Amino acid sequence: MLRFIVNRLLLALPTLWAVLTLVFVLVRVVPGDPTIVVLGDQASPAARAALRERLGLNKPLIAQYADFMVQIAHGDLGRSLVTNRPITSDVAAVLPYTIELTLAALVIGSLIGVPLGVVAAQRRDGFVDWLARIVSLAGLSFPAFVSGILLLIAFAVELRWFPVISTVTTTDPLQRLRALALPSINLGLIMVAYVTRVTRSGMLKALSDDYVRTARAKGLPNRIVVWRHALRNVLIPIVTVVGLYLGVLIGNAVLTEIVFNRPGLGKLIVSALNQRDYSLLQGLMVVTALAVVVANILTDLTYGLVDPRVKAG
Amino acid sequence: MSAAAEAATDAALEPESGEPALVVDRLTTSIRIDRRWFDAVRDVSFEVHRRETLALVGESGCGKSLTALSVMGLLPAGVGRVSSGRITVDGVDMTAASEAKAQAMRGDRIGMIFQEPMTSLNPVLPVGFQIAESLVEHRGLSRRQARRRALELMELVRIPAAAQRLDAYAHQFSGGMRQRVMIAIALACAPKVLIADEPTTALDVTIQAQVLALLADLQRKEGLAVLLITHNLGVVASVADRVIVMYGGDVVESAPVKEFFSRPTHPYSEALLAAMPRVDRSAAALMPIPGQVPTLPDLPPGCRFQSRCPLRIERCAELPPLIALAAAPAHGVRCWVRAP
Amino acid sequence: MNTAVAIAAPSAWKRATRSGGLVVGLALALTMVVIAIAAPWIAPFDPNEQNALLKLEPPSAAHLFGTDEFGRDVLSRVIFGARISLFVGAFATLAGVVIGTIIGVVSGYFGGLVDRLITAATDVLLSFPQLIMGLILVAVLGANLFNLILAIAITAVPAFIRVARASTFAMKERDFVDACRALGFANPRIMFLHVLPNIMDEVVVMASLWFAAAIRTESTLAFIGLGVPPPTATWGGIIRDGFDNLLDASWLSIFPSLAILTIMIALNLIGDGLRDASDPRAPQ
Repeated sequence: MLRFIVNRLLLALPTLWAVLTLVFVLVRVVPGDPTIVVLGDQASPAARAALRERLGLNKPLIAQYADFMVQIAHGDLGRSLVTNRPITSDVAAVLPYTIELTLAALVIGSLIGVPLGVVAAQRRDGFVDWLARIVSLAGLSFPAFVSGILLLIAFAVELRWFPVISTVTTTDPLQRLRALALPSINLGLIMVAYVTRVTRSGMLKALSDDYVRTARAKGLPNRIVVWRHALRNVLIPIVTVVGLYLGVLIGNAVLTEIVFNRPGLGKLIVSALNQRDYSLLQGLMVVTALAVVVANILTDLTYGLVDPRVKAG
Repeated sequence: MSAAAEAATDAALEPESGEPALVVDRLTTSIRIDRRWFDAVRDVSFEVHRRETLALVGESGCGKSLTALSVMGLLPAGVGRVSSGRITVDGVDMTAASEAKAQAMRGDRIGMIFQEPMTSLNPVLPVGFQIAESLVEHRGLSRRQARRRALELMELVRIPAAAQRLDAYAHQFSGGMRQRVMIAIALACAPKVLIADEPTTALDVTIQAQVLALLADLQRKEGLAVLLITHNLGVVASVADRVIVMYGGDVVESAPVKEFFSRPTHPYSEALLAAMPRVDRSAAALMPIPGQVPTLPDLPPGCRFQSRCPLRIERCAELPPLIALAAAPAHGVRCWVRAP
Repeated sequence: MNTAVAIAAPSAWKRATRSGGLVVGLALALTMVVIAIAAPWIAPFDPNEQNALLKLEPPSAAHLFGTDEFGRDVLSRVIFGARISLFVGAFATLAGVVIGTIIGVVSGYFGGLVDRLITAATDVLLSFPQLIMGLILVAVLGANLFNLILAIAITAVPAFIRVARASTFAMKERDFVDACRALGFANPRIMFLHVLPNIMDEVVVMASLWFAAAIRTESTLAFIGLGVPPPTATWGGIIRDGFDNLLDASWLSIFPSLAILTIMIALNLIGDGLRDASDPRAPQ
């Protein structure tokens, strides 16, 4: 098992390199003058020249690339153009909230999506199946900000069950949960959509597989056949799908934070955009890239837990 | 072995007299195609005694697998159903039993092994666990006790290094070994009846012989009644005591094995034997049976072999009854021409 | 069941029309397209016409969807917003489909080192959150109609490369590609006259689902402030305007949300319906 983990970590390095290069390309190799984007076209030539120097834009591209990579290898994400604070500390301050939200959404997504998919598969065209299809259609059709706003209107404004603007940073666990509830439901809805779908289709296939026939031939009761024999196998495609859509989840987490005014990467991105903080934006992109790579590693490791053929073979 | 010991062994090899372990009485199974129900298995009757192997033979689509599934009560709901007839396993009427009772019987008094051992084993559960499951379920053993028994079973089916492989997974075994695991699973609770649906078809020829030998050995030791489904007449000749030939859902011939091979009577049986490639005949002498099994909705009333039968007469439009031959009362044939 | 029983499979068209979802989706989508095209004629007001006297009016007979903080008629803005979303969505998807499919087919057909490089690059691009990538592209390029289409198209290209490549691979497994070669056909001819038509059904399913994703990205970017700049009416933009007035003027958020929801449901239904219709194993 340890060898498997080390293996995966090593394999992640080229991916990490590739994704970081992608960020570099996205941020830099674009037509137009970034100093104009940042300072506006009214800026003086002197100010623009100073900015160019500061951003290292006068060096050849390869040198910029090398600087960029070396900086990141040292864990330095640069400094904000506006506040001049190190970006790493700004990110470290808000990252836990983003992680908290993402994990909560994963939990909600799985706890609702898996049973929904299992029951839906067993009674095709029954009520639960119909419900599952509606729920997954809804999850896929609501952009995260639309569902977020509608949730806010319904539950915070109209029903007043939850605060509209909540203190997320409180240490009181009940308050914290209350503040977490709506955003994680919002983000979780998308997870539920994906998880329900893949669970349902995976179960439909698994229930017609030969080993289920063997399990029934052993006289095992239906609930063991479904939840132990069939579902264990469906975990593999579920992990695959969750892994595929982790990028979407991260993107929507950012969006949810914006709508619900939670501290997190989302707020930082918005302020970076509003203030034209080019460096902060780049730093945040790097963080996102790292998050994606880490998420993929975790997905692969989960495979090792779920599929014995991966571990041994 | 002394003469007395040999006699004793021979006696042990004889099918037991007394109540048969499996009785299938006038079974009719229907399947649904596009909203209509068609009889895929028609009025099939047979019995299997302990220590006896009954072979069920026929081409694909003749209903032999459906018969097996009907006996086990594993017909897919909504698509297949037992329309009439009675199935009795170890004295218990399976057709009248509740689903709970049938579940209790499955794995406990009657076991089944299937054709494809790779896909028939759960790929994500350890093999020892899969063997132990029915013991926990039916015999109420603790996990640990069941695990110990699973190890004994793996040794019984001659899996080498069983102790180390108790927690291995299906993909770590070869085809022949997987089939042995399947046998261990099926025999875990010491059932009285074992249904083997084409157990060796997916295996190499040399492995086939090993698995069949293992089955024969276990049958002797455990006193099993074996219903062996196959399309391979060679397998029938080497292990079966009695043979039933099915075509299009009907039993067309039923006889003890020696009797069958020396005097195949139904035109289909004759054709089957003639179609078998044989080492002592040239390839030019291959005689395939012309035509194909008609699909279920297209089956003619009366004898279903009509369209391909060289001996067909007018009367064949009416279904002949299964009649015992005068010369051999244990030999039944369903044919107007050969058994009028 | 493994019994050898012949079961006639209904034709693709029959399966498609039997799926109520596909029909509903098409109807909804078509309606919205018609509304968008006919916007100048059916919108009751000029979408940019301000009216200081009617700021933030709730829905009424004159203004079915109410007015926004500049007194503009929300219904008209939503109708005109449809134009932007559908236009951006359609062209971005089209660009993504064309470029991605061509690259995917060529890559999958020839295989080898280039194919492996393209696959690796595609995997990296696809793992990056599409929203974030679109966001950064528009932020850096500047927010206007063209850049929006460009940015979204860039995020779509890898997905279509992957689909086209996978399908092309599957096609290569089937003997007919070898048969074409044996007949002496040139590679481009095989790729575009023979392989391409056979993978189109998968590409079309992907395209309708991506059309929905493109509209989602466009409206999300507009909400963040990176959409087509004001005063042009966009669905995301209207919601953005309404966000500050969530408590008092929820209609600003609700109606454009419903519009977005409608087109996304329609496109998802179409995509699912097409997928079910083209999969012969989909149970009836």
